[in-house]
Amino acid sequence: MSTPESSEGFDEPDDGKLGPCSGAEDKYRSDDELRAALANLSPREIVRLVGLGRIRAIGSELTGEELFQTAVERLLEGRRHWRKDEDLVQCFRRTMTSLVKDWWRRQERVSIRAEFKLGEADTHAMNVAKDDTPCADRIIIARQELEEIKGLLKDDKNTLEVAMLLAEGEAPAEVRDAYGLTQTQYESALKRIVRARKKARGTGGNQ
Amino acid sequence: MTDPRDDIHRLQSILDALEEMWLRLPDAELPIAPAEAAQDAKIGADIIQAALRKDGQRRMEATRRAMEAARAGRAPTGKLLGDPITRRRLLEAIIANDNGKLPERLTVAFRDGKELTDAEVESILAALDKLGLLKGSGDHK
Repeated sequence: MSTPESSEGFDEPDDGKLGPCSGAEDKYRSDDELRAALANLSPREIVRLVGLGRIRAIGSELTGEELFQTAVERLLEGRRHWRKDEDLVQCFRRTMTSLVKDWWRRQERVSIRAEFKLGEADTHAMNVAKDDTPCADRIIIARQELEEIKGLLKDDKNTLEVAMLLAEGEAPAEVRDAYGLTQTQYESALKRIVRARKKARGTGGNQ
Repeated sequence: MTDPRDDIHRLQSILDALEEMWLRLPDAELPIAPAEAAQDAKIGADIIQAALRKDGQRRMEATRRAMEAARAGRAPTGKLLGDPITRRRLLEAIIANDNGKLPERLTVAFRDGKELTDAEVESILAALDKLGLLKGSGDHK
């Protein structure tokens, strides 16, 4: 499989808070540290990071590879930053989560501009006026993903119940307690969700 | 009525749990087949290598631009004035021919035989050049 060519559509700043302003050297790792860490990632670590991208890309129109590639590029470009108080995996987790949110924000702006025939210059006014209601596509995709999970687990009642409790916002400990599950049993249920999706799609990804 | 955001939150809650599991499990227990893991390792390594190459090229380009800018910043003096002797002669010529344009203190100091170092000569010429006082002054063009 070839690597994605482009990572456009992720142009939001890091929530405006993560940029290296004053005191950045105290908060963020240096460019050299980042390059060295990326160059020294083991295949196993890379598998974990790409897998993380695949999970986080679910419910978006992105692939896990696109998300991972964008995260790597944004970090190297200095548009995202690796904090000193986190390891590289945590950094990727935070960065990819933020990138997906930004990607949706951008899609929502494009969609509103198209609907109201606005130009790029109207973006600022639109941002001010816009509430945080997500666009229809995002809601539809999320609903489809949830329905797919339910469908895939219809013959695995226990796993379905775990998934639905999590969906209702129950914490993992509460889910385990509710069904008297050990940590291993709980994690096995989560693994079955991942495997069911992979099996249904014939890939390891979110496509 | 159900908030349309609820489905997004529901899905996110499941993804958060999957993510936690994915990060917590030891390598051997990850729900991924060996062939798939090998493929992901290759894809990820290719992405990282390509990004590092691109980053290296970007940094080299930035360094090149910075060096060019630095050279451009020095160009007026560098182009006009070759070696220390030439620079000193140029300053002498300016003082001899155009001293009306120069600060009196400088011409007096020079006439008094005050020893100017090469660096001082260069610095004075650079300052005169910035002020546009070297334009048309003899052999520096």
